[in-house]
Amino acid sequence: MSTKSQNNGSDEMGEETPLLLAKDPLLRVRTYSHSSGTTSHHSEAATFDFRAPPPSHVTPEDVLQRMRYAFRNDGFDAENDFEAAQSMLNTLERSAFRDTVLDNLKETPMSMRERLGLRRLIYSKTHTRRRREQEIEESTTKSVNRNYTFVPFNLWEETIANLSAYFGSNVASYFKFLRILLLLNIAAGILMISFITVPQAIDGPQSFNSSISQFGWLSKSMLLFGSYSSDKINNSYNQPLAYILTWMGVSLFYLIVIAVAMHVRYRQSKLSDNADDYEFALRTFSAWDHTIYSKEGVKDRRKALCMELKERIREERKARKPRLETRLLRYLGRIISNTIVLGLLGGSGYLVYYVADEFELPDSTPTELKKLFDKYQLSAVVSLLKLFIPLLFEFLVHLEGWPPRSALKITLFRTTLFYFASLVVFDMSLHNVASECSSASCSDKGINTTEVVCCWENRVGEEVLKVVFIDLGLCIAVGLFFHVAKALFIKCRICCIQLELSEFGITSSVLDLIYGQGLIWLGLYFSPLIIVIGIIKLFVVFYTQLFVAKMAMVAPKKVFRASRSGNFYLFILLLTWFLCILPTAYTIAEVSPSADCGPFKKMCKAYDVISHSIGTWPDWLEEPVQYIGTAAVIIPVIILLLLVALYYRAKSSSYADLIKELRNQLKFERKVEKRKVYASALSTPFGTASKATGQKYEFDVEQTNFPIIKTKT
Amino acid sequence: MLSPGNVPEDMRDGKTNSFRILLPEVQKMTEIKENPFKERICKVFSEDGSGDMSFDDFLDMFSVFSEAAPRDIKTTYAFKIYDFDCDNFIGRDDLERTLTCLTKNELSDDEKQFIVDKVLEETDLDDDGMLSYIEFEHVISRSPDFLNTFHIRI
Repeated sequence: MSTKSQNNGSDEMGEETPLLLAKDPLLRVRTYSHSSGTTSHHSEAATFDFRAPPPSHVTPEDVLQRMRYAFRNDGFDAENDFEAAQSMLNTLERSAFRDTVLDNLKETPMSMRERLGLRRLIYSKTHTRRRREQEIEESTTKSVNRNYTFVPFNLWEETIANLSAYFGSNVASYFKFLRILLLLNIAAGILMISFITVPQAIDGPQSFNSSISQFGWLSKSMLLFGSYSSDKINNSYNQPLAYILTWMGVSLFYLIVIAVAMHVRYRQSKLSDNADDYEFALRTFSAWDHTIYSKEGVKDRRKALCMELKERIREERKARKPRLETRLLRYLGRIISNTIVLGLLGGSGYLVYYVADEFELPDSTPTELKKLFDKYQLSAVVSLLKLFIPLLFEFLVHLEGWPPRSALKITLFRTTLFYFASLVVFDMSLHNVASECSSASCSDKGINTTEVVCCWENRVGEEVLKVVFIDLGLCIAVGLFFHVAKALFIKCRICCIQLELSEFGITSSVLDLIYGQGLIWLGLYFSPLIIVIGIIKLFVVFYTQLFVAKMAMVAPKKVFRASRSGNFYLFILLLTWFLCILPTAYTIAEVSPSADCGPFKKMCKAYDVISHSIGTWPDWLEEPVQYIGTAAVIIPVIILLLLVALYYRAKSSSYADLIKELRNQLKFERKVEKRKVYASALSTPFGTASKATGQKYEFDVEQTNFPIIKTKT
Repeated sequence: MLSPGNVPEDMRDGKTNSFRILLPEVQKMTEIKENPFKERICKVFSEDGSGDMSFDDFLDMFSVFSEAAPRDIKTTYAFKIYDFDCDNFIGRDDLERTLTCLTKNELSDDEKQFIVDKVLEETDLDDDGMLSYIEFEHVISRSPDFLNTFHIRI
């Protein structure tokens, strides 16, 4: 009778509540070894305990299992057990087992000495020494390769490491992102230069007349579109074709790299979207950043962590729902501030558009000023807006009284939106610049209408370049004259107002980088060498930021970062790519290039160069391709894609709901049922149950991360 | 760097294991001098648990803290570091000591207790008042930046 009830007890544990109980063999074993209170090998083998069965009974699965949990240091003798387990196998299984052990050895939490011992043992047993030699060879070649291929990736490694000694790995990640962008641009720049600039340089830049040039001799240099030749160089190199193909190739290269990086990162980040459930646990266990080792860094980090913990405790203790009036007031405030944000977005967009298109200074202003203004109005407005609007957003969010994490997300969202809006408007105003020139219809080509000599591609390139320069200038200026000056004030105690050193704003800095990259993409077609300028800019930005951070910044106070932000930045980078490359692609396909300069001056559309040189579509494809290009097809396709996206979005959100529900259910089960189950489990010690029924338990290592107990009759 | 005069030049014949640097010496290393868990780290990696480290232990330590170490190993050693009393479970006492290391004396006992309660509420799946390795791993795998921060550069 008693046997039966015990049996029931163990069944219940094994089958009905596998998640709660069976997944943790360590816990269970500990419970029972305590209750039995035995330590010697033999008495433990009598009761069931997988930790230390006599060596002759060790199965290979046992060895693997115990290697996984070797850190428990409980009498696991790897070498003996391995030999014992091996003696039970036939030759074929033996070598397979050896391989498995070797493969797992690297990920086994044993000390170096134990691992070496086991490895030596395994190798001394293998009489075929070939594998060993092979492996040694492999590993040496691998390490050599590694040393060589990773040299550029280690650029600034030392500097970044020193920086993270104080600022921690979050700030270091910003500099690493910068490094990735730099390397990417260098690779793309090499492509651009070797396929476009070098062939042209052999021939010398094409000369052309341009009535509008703002950069003086630079406008006629190979920096810009205009000086690239429309003929074959040396009668063999088809420059127009090379130009367009290289541009396409480089753009695709960027896209592929970003997509691959996103994929890799996504796979690395385990499902960490429910980090909210573990706020305190994660703050306790993974809050410490071991990369920080400078004294001030440790002090600041500790202070920030304490502040945050205290804040969280306060929030947690406070009654959840504030009073109705305050809530109403808060909602009202949020509505107002959101309206302001929308107004700011629209207003700044209109401002850029207006300045680019219509704005003129009154006649009374001196001509010098007017000239200067004409030259820089568009780029200046774009950069100034970029400087001030994000600050305004941050200020607004303070007023709204969001909890810190949502505040971060909202600012991020709004700033991103603003950057996109300004890029789009900038696109449009560039288009206006372009259309001033390209009004001459395509049929006029060939007849040289010399009255209006212009090269709108060059103008667009110049505008973008100007924004890039001003952007860089502002970055340096803000760093030096704002942050450093502020730090000087504070250090010299000149100012009597209480000031604080600025925090290092990772989010805004990363968005800045992305914006800069967007500008490079935007100008890539119109100015192939913009990449070189972009590379120089990244170098300068790196050292400026480094200098400013070291001189005048403190580590960010928010220890906890919005989860998975790394992937989020990549996603924004991807969107920026679309925003910047697609308008250019449209230009290539639809707008007629200027007739006086550039590689495509003989063409009706830049795209024609492909159909002329490579050939048109075959006849049977021609019609379908043209048909696909019409709005009648494209619009439904876009709508369909949107619907599919929406469908998957809805599906994923429903899964999220399901997960939430299940988790709640689990919590409930835990609260109500578990104690009962535990009580019964404790009353029927496992060892006795197994002994009485003669069942053998074994752990299933292969199937899951959590060994589940199976009963075997 | 760490009393180079004392280290024998010839490391053969098991010297890598037998010669040790004492705990106070090890703790003076720049990379871990300011680390709040320095003592725990040394003890976890020293073979007899005293904190004195041999060359092998040293290798162990920095291989675990290196960038290339797999997540499982990092998790395992993080668990050991937080397990102050070495009973293979993180209990209330361990949690308190972890918090003391992290925050020195800036939190009151009351606040610490509150956090310990919360941590257990969030993570203790089987309600035994302490965290087993599996429970710990479950939590730490949710951390967005554990891999980046559990990393010491030399």
